[in-house]
Amino acid sequence: MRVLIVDDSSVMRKIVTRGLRQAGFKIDEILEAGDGVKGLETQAASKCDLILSDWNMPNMDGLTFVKEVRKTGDKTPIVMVTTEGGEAKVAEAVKSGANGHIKKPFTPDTLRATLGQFFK
Amino acid sequence: MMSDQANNCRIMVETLQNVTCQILESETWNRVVCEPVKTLPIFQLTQEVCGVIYLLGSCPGVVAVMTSQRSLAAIIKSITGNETRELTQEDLLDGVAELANMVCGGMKSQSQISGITISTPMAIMGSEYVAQWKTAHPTQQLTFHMQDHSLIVIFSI
Repeated sequence: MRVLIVDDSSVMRKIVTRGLRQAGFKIDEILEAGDGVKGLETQAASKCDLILSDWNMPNMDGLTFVKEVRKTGDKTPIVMVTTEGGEAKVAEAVKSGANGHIKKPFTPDTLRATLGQFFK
Repeated sequence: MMSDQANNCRIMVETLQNVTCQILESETWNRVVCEPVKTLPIFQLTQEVCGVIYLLGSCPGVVAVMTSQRSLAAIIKSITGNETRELTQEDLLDGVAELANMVCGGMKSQSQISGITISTPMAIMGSEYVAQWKTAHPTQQLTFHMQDHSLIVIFSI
């Protein structure tokens, strides 16, 4: 199982990585990208099994990233990680092809509850 | 009868105390003690590293999370689980911005004030500056202590 974390904050990428480890998921590799553009490149090259993406990023935001991934026909589960928990934004993300949503701050329990279904 | 502003201010104090303690305790595994709230006449950044977020929508205002570089480095190392790597200036700016994001995001989720929108965080680092905001109402200051580190959260709404 390979996971791609797309977030412009290197600290948040490490927090998510640590959270995934603490949640006890079996992960072979965690890849990181600093924005949507890098995320698209990384996913095209590495075909990860799960993508966790921030919303607000430079160059390409999270929503556009989701739409661009789906345009390529890639059905990899994408879960948005954000502080913006508004219903309208969640609905927009799901409509664009996202499979779930995690609000920051999160705990290993939150990650297990939201992401467990994506780990075989 | 308490005004809407005073009521929102009371809710913000309680929520920020709870949320910040939760974040620091769960992420750093340290016991956190919060000092009684202080009321200050001005909104001023007084520490080496600060993350600032504007509150928009139903409860406009500004929130800042600030601390020393040394304390921030310890908090970030603990939060990221990386105790050994030396942190760069970018890590510290990134870290204080994310800390502000987590505190305000948690406050937004847990407070009973509906319709709050939070801006993206702005990070400031240095020691030779004065950053001060003119606000309509006094500033509330919450100070959190863990071991030999402390973190200050101020807000004005």
